[in-house]
Amino acid sequence: MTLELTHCTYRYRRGRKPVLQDFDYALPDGLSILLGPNGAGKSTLLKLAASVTKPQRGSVQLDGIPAGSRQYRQDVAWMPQDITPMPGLTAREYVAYIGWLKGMSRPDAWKRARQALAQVDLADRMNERSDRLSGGQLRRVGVAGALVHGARVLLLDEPTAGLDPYQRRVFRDMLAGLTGDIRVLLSTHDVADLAEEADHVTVVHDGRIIHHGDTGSFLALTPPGTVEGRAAEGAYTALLRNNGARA
Amino acid sequence: MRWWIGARRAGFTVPLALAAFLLPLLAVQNIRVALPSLIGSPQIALTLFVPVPLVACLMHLLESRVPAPEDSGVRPVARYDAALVTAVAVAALCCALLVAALGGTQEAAAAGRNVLFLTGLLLLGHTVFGPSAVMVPVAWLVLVVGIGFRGNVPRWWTVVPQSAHDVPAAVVSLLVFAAGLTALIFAPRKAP
Repeated sequence: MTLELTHCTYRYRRGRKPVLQDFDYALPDGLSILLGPNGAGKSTLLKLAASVTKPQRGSVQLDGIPAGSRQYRQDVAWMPQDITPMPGLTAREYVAYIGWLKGMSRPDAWKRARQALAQVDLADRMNERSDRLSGGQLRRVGVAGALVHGARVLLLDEPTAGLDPYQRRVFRDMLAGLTGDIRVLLSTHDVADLAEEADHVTVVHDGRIIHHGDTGSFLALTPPGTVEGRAAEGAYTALLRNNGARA
Repeated sequence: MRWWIGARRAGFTVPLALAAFLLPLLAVQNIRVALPSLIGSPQIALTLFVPVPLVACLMHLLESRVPAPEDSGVRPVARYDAALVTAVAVAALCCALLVAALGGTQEAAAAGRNVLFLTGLLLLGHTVFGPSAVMVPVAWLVLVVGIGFRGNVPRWWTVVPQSAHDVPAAVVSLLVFAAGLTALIFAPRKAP
């Protein structure tokens, strides 16, 4: 299974500098994290992969299925940075609604919503109105929504942003519990927390990839003398400095 | 479908929208006031402004959504939205025609027609301005009051103050409404 972006160019407005230009990327197995400073193009990459927006040039495919097709949309789940609470829906209805939107029948979506919420440890809150959940719980509802329809690829955009340390721990445990051949691409600023748990690390800067490889090769970039426990941060900072990033 | 209705909060917003249209319509259908204008001081029927709360409710309906899954899903949610907007607008039009038939005022019937026109403007504006498009129908009304009259006679392009029997105004209203629905269905909404 391969999700590939090939020669993708995307700009938000005509005449503006492209956020991504002639961009190539293939999503590896397991958990991959996407690092990069603000404005590097991480969210744009995820939106292209989620097929909510189209590249002006290039193509996005999953096993040869073009982005935007029904099959592609059923196979790929996307959780954006902001999860919108819905006062009119409970957590279970919210997740079931996402399943229904992805093409599931109503009874299937309803049944699977319960299982997906249990998977993210929210079974006891499934009848709670979604606007009464905490930020961390709402993000887990978002992940349950991404899991409910059996997608093969999960795209998570900064899922730990704004979470306290305990909620981040719960989220990481939940992520570690994802099994099967689901591929996960997770964009984050949370380098220290997540880089060492990922299988692959990609670093994007100024619309291009400056590192793409397994976690070992990323951590090998850590400069000597880095404080213990800060290896991932050290490697990330060194990479950005070597590529002309300024504070 | 039930969850889509829940997400839109249609069970609450649709009755509110219709009430917010019908009650002021009943209250002001016979009232004309002189409003400050750049050209003169025309006598304007207050029913001109009656569709505004309804149009604001429609915007609230359209914005009560779960953007990411709706934009990346396979259900034609935009078509459901278009059907919902049409149902509300047609219900408002029927209410207005009923009020006109019972009360005998042509202003009420014109207000029904104006719902179609202003909703069309809202939907067209929505593709460009997003939620701020609720100001587009308001801006149109301000423009009409400001420069849309010669004496007490509305200019041809104003649409909304034209009499209920004005055929061009009815045709333009229908066309703008249809264009708005088309934009709602086919124009991509802004990704979150």
